[in-house]
Amino acid sequence: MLRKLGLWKLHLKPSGVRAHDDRTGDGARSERGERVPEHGVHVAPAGAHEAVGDGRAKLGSRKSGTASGEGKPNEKAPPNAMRSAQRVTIARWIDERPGFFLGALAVPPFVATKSSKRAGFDRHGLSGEQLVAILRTMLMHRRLEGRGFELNRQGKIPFASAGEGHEAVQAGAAMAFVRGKDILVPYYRDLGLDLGVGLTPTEVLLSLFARAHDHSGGRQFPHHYASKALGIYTISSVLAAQLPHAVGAAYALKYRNQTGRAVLTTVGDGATSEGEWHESMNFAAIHRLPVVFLCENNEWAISTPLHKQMANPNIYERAAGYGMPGVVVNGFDPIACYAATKEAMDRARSGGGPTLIEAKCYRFLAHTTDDDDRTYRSRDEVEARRKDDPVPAFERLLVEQGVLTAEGLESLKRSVLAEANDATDRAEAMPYPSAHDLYEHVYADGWQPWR
Amino acid sequence: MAKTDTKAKSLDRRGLSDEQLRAIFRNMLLQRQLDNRGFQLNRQGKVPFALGSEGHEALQAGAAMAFERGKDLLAPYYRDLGLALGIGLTPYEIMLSIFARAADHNGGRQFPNHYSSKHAGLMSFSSILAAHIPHAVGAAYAIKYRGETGRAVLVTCGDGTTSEGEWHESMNFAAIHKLPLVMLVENNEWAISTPLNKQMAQPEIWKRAAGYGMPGRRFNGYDPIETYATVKEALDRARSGGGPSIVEGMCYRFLAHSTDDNDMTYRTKEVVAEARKNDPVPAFEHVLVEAGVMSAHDVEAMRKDVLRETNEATDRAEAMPYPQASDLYTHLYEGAWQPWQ
Repeated sequence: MLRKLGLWKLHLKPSGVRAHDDRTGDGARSERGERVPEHGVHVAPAGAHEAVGDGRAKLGSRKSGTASGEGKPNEKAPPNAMRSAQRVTIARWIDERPGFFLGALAVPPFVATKSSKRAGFDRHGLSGEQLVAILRTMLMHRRLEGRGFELNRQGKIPFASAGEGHEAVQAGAAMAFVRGKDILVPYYRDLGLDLGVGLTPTEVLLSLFARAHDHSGGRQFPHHYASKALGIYTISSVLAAQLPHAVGAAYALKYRNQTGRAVLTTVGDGATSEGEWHESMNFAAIHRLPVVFLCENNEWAISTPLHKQMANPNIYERAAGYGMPGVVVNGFDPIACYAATKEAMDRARSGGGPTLIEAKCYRFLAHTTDDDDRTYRSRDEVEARRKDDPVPAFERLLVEQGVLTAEGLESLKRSVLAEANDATDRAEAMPYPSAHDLYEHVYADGWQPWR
Repeated sequence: MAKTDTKAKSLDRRGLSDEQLRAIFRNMLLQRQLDNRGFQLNRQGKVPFALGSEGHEALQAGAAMAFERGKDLLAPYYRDLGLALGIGLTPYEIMLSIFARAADHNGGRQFPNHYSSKHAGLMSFSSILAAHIPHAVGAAYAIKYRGETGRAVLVTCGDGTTSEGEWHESMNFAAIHKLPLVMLVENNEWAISTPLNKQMAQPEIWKRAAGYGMPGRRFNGYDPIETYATVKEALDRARSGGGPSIVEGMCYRFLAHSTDDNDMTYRTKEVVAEARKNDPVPAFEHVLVEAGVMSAHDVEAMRKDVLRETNEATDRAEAMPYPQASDLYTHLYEGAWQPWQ
């Protein structure tokens, strides 16, 4: 175990500590149009001059719908109770989330007790604990992504996909998810969302290792998580195939008059070219279904760049055509992503119908462990975009704003590494599915008509 | 008729000559006559099925006038009798299709009202909604790929088809590659029995064009001149490398979906009667007579001529033989190869 810990450290150091400097905005961000869609609740993303992750993305101040009193998304402290909130220890927050925090209960308090810089920091109602939880999800997301690639290169697992660059949008959006009520229908690049709604690193590693204790019994594709308890649907790898399912789930919520619940479903930019995407958007709009379509636009559909995927790069502008609000948000800004998702989910939960959110981010790694992105994009492009890496940017923001101390950040990182290592060891030690189980879960009660 | 001379100046004919205006009107009359003929023949037990496009006459006759014969391609849907006539199909060819005779372009094998003509540039199509749109986009891609300028593809669909995934995929692909394509949506407010408000939350289909990054326009589909001008502008843009457009013509379906549909199970006579007040055929007749393009006498003569041509086409087609059972396997493989025998 200890030997392994040391090994992980060697492997993992680079990705966790890179790019703390140089946060000048890149040009690509500024050329993105910020037009207000006709029906849209427009959310301006942070512009070129606004450093990514500064928490000041100008979210639409328009409040929509009547947010139901019940089911505040992952909130434990009211928006205006920052000071008292900060006195709540992170340990209590974790205690209320069984399984979230396996390996690091002994860390020092993360939450700084005071800061003079807090005045200019728009946290959109997020408490210090919530902000730290978002960062922890982002760190864990990155850590486990790196782990998947390492295990693949070591020959221990057959495949892993990568969401580096999606940490902020997923951790932010997950914070707007109400556990026990909402439903998540993700796509295959949603590790951070799954972690954020409650999946444990061990469950993630069980999926990657395809072990018998995985929720699918090791039968699903890696990274295709599912959890009935958490409300995470099982998904297909086929692009956009999950959207009709998500819309069907939302239709069921409406049909059963279950208010205060909504479905969050996600796709990449490539999936928006699929017919199912269109049919799902249209159907959800007609019936005003409680569903939020979150598009994580990372500019690459495997090897297809955005300009070969669509003529108009602003996916959110399509929402007006369906008669639903369209929102664009800086996908490197977790707070903006939280606020946009929360507003849309609140609207959906209160009968206001669906929303299309487009979060602009970037895919830093290859599509999967089976892809070599050097064959279709330059290192220069990727390195240029790495300057906006949302993980170090959000670390810096929380420390600068006094939400987290430098020591707190370090112990957070240590706890994430320890938990990832522990999860890896635990999952690896579990048995594979047995050949005898091959025909299980095919028919009820063990019926095997082919025998 | 001095009085009509002054009014003639008030008619905004968008460059259409008297002859073209009369051709549009004749197409509209012929379309209505043939539509009714299909329903009559079905009720007489002579044809198995017919579709009605009443209410689409102005839209289709106007759009067809913007089509350039010998250059453009038409990928229609099943309610496009007027477009087929307008680009050169004869009533006799229409009747061969409805009667499913051997001399029909597809040997009487296609669904009625599913015309095709290689000569006229009219692509054969499937009844499945939106199935023809990827084909149209493919044809437009071929035109671009071969560097053929001055040609475009006119593809049509109803409002219901815009909910199909193929519609979306086709629009997106056409926009990415700036293909010479015009998507003409004939919005008649009914997809068989599904009304527009159950088909889409936002009823202005043309507004989706912006999302794809292409121009979109809506026009009055009861006005053949406005239709002509709108479709011509879009086709001209497509022919000159300006990329695709979505143009949405507003009309109404006066008849049931087909001879196999009873629309009184889902809409009332009153609703249809109200919509009939805007019937484009008598309205355009009125416009042409008022503008002095035609006299009332000319209109009567044209009506008689259209009826005569319809009757002749009906008689001629009915007298033609059915396909032979021995032809069943032809057109499947090249030569006489029949791998299953």
